[in-house]
Amino acid sequence: MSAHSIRIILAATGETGAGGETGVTTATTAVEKHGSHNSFYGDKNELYWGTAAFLILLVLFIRKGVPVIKKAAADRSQRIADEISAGEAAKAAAESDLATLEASLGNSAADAAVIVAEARTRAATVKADLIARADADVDASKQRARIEIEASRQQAFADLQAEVAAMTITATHAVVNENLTAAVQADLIEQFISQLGATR
Amino acid sequence: MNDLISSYAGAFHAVAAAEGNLATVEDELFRIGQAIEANDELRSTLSDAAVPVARRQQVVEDLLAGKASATTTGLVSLAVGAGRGSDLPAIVRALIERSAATRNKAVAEVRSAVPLTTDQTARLAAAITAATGKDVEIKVVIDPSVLGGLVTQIGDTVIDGSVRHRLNQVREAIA
Repeated sequence: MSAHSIRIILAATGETGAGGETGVTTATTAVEKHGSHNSFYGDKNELYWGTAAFLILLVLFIRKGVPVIKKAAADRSQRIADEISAGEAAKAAAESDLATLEASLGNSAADAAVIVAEARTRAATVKADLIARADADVDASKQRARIEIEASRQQAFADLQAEVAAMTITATHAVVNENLTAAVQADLIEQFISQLGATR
Repeated sequence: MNDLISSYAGAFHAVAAAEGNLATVEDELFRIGQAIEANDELRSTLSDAAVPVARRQQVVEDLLAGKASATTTGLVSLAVGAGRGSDLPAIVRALIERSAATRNKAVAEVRSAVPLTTDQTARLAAAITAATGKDVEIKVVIDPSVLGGLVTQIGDTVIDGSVRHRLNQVREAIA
């Protein structure tokens, strides 16, 4: 590991060395002591220090970072679970409301159907009554008309008969008066006397 | 009322008989009675209490002057003066029946459009006697409404042989 890399790691973790100096300084010093030896396994100290630093960093990470991460993850999971629970509860409540509403709508539809059926039945009854009444009125009117026509016919016939009778009597009267001469009068008197004399 | 009329009839009969002209008085009274019965105005005038008695009697005398005997005029004036003017026809009828009854006869009132001759009257009386078995005295009333023929009434019996009756029969048959 190069000194540059170690500095980067120590700077990122904020760790310091045992003598109050920072790890960056220690690591840099160590790297600088070894000069510019760049072989990967070339310097054992570098390997040890690097491993130690890694382990230190790993321990630090496990001790400090993992709980934080776990806690954050747990919090997030909990939050998500809570939100899911709340959502499910809201969904259940909504479904319950929906069911209630649908049931109510179903009852309303049934009630409306009953009302409509009753209204139709009543309307049919009223219609039948009106038709029957109208038929009865028409029949009564026809009967009255027949009676009036018959009465008018009879009255007209009676009037005509009376008029004819009056005209006949008037004509007969005139004819009789015209023919009631003295001789006819005498003859009528003689007829009366004869008929009365013949009556016993 | 009948008693009153009968009383007047008896009084009239007695006066006429005493005067010795019963037949004439009867005949005159009969004609006067017919005239009063046929004339509403005359009957009303003779029986109107609002008209003074003297005025009513004067009317009678004016009407009968020269047309009836003094006895007849006096009897009519008496009845009118007594307020019995409207009863005169009934009084006369009762008088005639009473007179006929004294002769054992009934009165036949005959209505005719024309006067009857003496011969017709005699034969009619004989025919009525033959038909009813009663001796009758004929009292003829001239009634133009009869038109022709005769209507005879003896008591309550009416024998109608008039042209008017036949016309009525025709009218009823047609109507």
